[in-house]
Amino acid sequence: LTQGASLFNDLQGSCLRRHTAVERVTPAFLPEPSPAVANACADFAPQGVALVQDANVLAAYFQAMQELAAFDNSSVSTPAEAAGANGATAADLNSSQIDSISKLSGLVTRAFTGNYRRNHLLEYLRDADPHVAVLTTGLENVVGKDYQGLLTEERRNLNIEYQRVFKPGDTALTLLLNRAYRGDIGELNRRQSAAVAYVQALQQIRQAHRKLAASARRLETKQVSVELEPYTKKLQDLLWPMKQIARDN
Amino acid sequence: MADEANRARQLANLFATMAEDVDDYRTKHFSELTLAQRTVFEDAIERLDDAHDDFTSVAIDATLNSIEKDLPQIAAITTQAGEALQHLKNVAAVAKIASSLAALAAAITTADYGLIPGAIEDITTVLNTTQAS
Repeated sequence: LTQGASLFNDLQGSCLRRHTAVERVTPAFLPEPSPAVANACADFAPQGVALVQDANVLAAYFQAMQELAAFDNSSVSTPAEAAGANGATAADLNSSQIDSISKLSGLVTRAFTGNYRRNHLLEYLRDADPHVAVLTTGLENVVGKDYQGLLTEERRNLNIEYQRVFKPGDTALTLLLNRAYRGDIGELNRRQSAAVAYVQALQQIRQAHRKLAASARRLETKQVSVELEPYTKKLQDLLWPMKQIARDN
Repeated sequence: MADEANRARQLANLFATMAEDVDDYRTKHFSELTLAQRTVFEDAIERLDDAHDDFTSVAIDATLNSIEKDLPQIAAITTQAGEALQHLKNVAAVAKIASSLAALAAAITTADYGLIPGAIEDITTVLNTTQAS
């Protein structure tokens, strides 16, 4: 989720690239956009920052829930079993009594921590679900519709830009333009794929959360953690194109 | 707020579609058009794209506003989940202390004085770990 930052920050980037291209053959070695171009895209900069912050709130929530669901009960029950055994030994009980008290101590502690964890997880999943739905839908709309719209526009303008400078019959120029065009289109395709992957990830997160919130009462806490895990894994797999973009930028 | 975002997106799409249509026409008739005619179409596309960008920006603002009220709820639940986890960790720490104290009590009760230094060492370790965490 945090990798979505590269997409949100590119809202302004896409706008700047289109406007820079529209300024008749701007030298690439002068990367600063003109004040007019920067002004035309100014709104997208603070919006990108706000969207990254929103995505971070969502990521922090999932991280906290995953940690709570994955808490190792044995870290509580094993010392409790030992405490029970030691207490029973001190009370001078026989070996089978010591064993019973030890196991009972562990079970009671495990039941307490298990119930505590399950009840809280259920409450949090249920309470957070409508808000997770609103947030993921909002981010999905921005990336899937707004950002994709800007990229489509950028693609159209990229074609116009190349058509404008193309001179029929000039083989050397055609060769160089072809090479540059493939590079630019490839980069654009990569951004579009990253946006598609991010949208898919948000949809899966929303569906998984809804499913969990609805069925968590029937699931053991360990199962909640197991249920969350494939989505977390899938999310990581889906996010590689965005990581690529972030690294290249 | 979500409606406002949807309306802005519909308008943005409208301008995007118009730009697409103009570009389709320009592309289909590219060889027949003079340079001046192409420029007219390209300027029109640019203006339509600008309008698309303006409404896209309005849609993003409206989206940010629409999710604004949900963020504190998610942040609050995140804090609660962190506190619940901390509580469980504290229980684990207390259980470890209880285990060590019980071992000490067992060593004293059974008069196994050789075990006492080890039991005290365990308690010190557990307390230090608990304080550190």
